[in-house]
Amino acid sequence: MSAVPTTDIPSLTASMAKGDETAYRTFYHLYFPRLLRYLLVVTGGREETAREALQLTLLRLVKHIRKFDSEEKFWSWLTVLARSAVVDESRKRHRYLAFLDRFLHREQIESSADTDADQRLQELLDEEISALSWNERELIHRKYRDRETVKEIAADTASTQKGVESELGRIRRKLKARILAQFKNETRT
Amino acid sequence: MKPEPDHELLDEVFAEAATGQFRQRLLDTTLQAARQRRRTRHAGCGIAIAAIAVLAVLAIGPFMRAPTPALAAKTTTSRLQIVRSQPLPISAMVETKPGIVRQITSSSQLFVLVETGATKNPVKEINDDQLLALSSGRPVALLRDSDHAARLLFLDGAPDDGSKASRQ
Repeated sequence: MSAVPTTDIPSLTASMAKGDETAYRTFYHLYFPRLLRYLLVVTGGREETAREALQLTLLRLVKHIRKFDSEEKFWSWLTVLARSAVVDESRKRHRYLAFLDRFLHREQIESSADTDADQRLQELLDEEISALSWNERELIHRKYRDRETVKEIAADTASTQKGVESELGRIRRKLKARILAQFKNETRT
Repeated sequence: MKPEPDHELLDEVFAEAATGQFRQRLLDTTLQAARQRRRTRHAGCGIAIAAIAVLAVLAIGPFMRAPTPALAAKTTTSRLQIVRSQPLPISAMVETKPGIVRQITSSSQLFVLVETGATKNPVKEINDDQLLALSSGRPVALLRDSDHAARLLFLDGAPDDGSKASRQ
């Protein structure tokens, strides 16, 4: 399953291999959120580590990019880069801490190799959405499941668009915090 | 059945894990690395081409020691430096007019070269035998005073006029 809109991956990757900056911008637009989510899963919800690993992943991408025939192969290659970046970021830390870090997280990093990170995130997201209050859950469903616009929701709830957007933002932050907390708990156990 | 990922919601939920500033900084870093890689690749291509050229020269160099006439001509031509000149300004030009300077023409017929043969060598040098032959049969004697001086004596009593013969 691809999280990326239909894109001519062979053409995109070939252009990136030639150093085409437009191709890199397109790639960045298409893959940045997905890679970040993947790294959040791999790092067990540690945002700072995920960001550092993402930076290293992109630098390695530039260094080793080549033409890929399909999106599946390209994404699979990206996840290999991302996982190795997480491991190497851990090695940069203090040796003892790095040892503990690797010991504690190796299993998770390795197990995530064959796991669809977005699938896992979606499972946790669904769990957390179901744990929201009725009003919060209804708002999320109207916006993301029923595809209603903020204007429509505001008109129906006798609220302002700004108020609806503010409420949606608060709920998203709450969901993110709970999902990352879940990951951290899974890592400890 | 597993739920289908809602990527829009996932994107927006986790968008705060990376601020806009972080996104922009990371994009800039990525593009900078891409430019660096492109430059390195171009430089690598240049070095490879230069290396191939050097190897080619080294490989065919021995065969080029005696260049063919056509090649030699080409080489000579390539060494020529074309110089393009411009006309002198009028201020730098000097013009002359005829008739300002008087010309004197001399002729060799005005002078006659006279050469006299006798004065060229007035003294005729003769040897002893020629001297004795001049005596016309009269008895004479040749007395040597030194290596370079001698006297001719007429033995028949004719007055001695002091004739002397100098011999060198």
